[in-house]
Amino acid sequence: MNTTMRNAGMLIAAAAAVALFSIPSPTPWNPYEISMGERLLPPGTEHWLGTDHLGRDLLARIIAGARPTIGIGLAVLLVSIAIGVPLGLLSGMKGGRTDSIFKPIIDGFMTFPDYLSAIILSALLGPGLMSMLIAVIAVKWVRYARLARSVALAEKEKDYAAMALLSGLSPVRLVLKHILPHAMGHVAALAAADLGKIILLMASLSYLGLGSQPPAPEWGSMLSEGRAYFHAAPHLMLAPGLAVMAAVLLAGFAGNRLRDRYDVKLKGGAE
Amino acid sequence: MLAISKLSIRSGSQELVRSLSLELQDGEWLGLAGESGSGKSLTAAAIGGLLPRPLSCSGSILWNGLELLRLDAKSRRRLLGSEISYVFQDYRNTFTPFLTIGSQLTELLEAHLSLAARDRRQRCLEELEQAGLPAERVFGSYPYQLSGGQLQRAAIAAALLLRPKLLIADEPTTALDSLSSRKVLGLLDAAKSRFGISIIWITHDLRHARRHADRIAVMRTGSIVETGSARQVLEHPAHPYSRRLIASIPPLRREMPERLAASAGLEGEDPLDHPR
Amino acid sequence: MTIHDNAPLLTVRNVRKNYGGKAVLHDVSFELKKGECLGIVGESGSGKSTLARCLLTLSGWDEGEIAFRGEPLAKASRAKLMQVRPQMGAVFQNPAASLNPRLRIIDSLLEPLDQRRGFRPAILDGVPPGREAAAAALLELVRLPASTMGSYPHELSGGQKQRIAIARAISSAPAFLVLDEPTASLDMTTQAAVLDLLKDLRKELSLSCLFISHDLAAVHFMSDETMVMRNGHIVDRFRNNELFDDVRHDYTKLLLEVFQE
Repeated sequence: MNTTMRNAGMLIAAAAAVALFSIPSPTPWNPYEISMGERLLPPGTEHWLGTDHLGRDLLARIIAGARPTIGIGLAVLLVSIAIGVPLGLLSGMKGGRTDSIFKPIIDGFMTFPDYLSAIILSALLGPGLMSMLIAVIAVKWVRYARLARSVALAEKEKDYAAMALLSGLSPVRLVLKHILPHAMGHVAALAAADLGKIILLMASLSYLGLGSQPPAPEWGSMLSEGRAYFHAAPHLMLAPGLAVMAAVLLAGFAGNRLRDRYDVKLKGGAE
Repeated sequence: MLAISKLSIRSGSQELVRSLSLELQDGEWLGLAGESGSGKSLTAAAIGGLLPRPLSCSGSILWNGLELLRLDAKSRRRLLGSEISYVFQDYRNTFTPFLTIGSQLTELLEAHLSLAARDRRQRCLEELEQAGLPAERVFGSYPYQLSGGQLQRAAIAAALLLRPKLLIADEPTTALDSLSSRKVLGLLDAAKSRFGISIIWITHDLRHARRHADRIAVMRTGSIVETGSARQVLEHPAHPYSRRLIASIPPLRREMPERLAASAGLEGEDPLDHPR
Repeated sequence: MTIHDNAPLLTVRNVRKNYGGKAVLHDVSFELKKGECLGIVGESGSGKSTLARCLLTLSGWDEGEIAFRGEPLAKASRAKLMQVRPQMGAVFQNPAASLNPRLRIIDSLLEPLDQRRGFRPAILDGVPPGREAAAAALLELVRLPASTMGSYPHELSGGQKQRIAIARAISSAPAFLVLDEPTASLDMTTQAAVLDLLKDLRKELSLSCLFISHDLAAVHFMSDETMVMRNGHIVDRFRNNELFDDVRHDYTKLLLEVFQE
């Protein structure tokens, strides 16, 4: 991808983020207002995206749903990184017994497919937003732990790490100064792809009725609600589906940009 | 048998090899000496059509009258298997990691010759034996089970398997320690005297050139600065850069020079100031 | 300190190290004295780089003792190690790996000095205060222009990076330097320039060093005394001009023969 396209993607993502968080809450359009006389209206001039099975304005619900969907996705991502990266670095740097405890845990978690473990976990914890968040974080942190561990394992053997120790750096400072920044480049790249996946995963859980509960507007649960009317009113699923897709794409753009920021080769001079 | 004339290799507007001309006789061992950025490896790659995509080349490379630069992909593949073969510096990449050495050697024979399966195996074992390797064991080994020196010798066995007329060895000993290097160069010598093949030996280290090479061409920044018999170039280098290259070898004698570059009268011109 | 000038900087006594059930260092003993350059020559797998890491306290060993200025290091605490390490300097084989690719040259170069605030090595005598001035002086010591300090490692050639590694290693006036194959991944003329530079610096700063290489000729050029390692053993040891003597170990003779061809 060339720079202009990357920048354009970044601009759109930034604009979307600004729009997302500057929309006053509650919105001028009420996402909860039920109007049984206007059920399942197709897109038109009054309701741009039409209405749902309870006659609620779909556009209002998509907009209102953006914040919980993307905001929660981001929060889940950040918490997963905050748990996974330090544990992974610790395991990789310490090696020995510490690593022999962490490694099987990390590998064990990795063997379960994301969706399966998240579904099982949130079903065990009972439906609801909180249990879904816990389930998704429990599934996601391992990837960051594994990534940070492998970066630590590779980098601590490099000569510059040895030379830093010879300069009198403590192992903790070695990690903070040399290894963490290195790991964050890789983490940003993984997170870029992951934000979209997390949004999808949460939308799927909500779709299955395990995540956020009606009447809260959340894209996944909107998809789930629209399922029953798919033949009569496909826009009920199309609108939140496209919204999820757009968010996933934009998150990817933003992530790529973030990763480039960590790449010194793009910063200084020509290679 | 090989005549390169006015070969230029470009990357965009940058000329990496500049109008280079070079000839190679039947059964001759040519040492192509130079350092990183000299274009020696690019020149060698151009002979087999192995240049990476973005590089364009012009000029002519004649192989027994055949223009190699205008060869179609199919005839080039046939030629590369049977008449011209390569050995590279990085022996780790020569063999696929998840197949045994034996299966990779036999596959090579299968692609080019019609031999019975047993004959193929026999031929491979003989070649490994010639390379001074425990043939049966190496035949059944995966690449990771061999040392660097063993892998490089197996790579030479593979390169010689189809009895090529020209072997291009691109820094074959650079990644090896000194005793393995000696074995590898010894093998190339043996191949030269056994089948009279020609060798283009690319190296940055002229240390063993006297013993092995017939002729030496010294390259720098895309051009040949000097060619001549090995003896002449090593003992009476005409070009200052050749002198510097030779003076860079730390001598092994009782009286050591104080400095290496100084002894060549080349103080001031600093090779470290040239970017890669 | 009450250590005599001629007391050894480094004393290695019967060091043994096992790896994967096999001994990679057998009963290694030697001393490094002040101002001396000791060469270690050996092929891959001889244990020479393992020995280097042990001397630098970057990896442990199983038996025997390594003492730095008379202080035993085998059971030293982490605090002790952090105090001892800055007194050792090292230059490794791969210049690409010895500089953090994410840091500008000035920050890599000055890392040892930044760690020891208030410490000013003798090589910076007469240099105005400030990081830029110190970096410029160190770069000049290894014949690099001051402008190099603003670059990132990927913008420099291998020889330039190796010179920065050398400047960095000597910046905090270490008691001794471990040079582990410092020229092996460089071009021939660059190797010669780095060898010349090291030899000059040795004289200018009366450095003590261990020069480790597979290249007998380079070791012979650099060092006063040479040890030959093979399969974890020191098989031969001689003063520089004794290399050609007939009493040398067969393995030394073999190496000499290879390099004299």
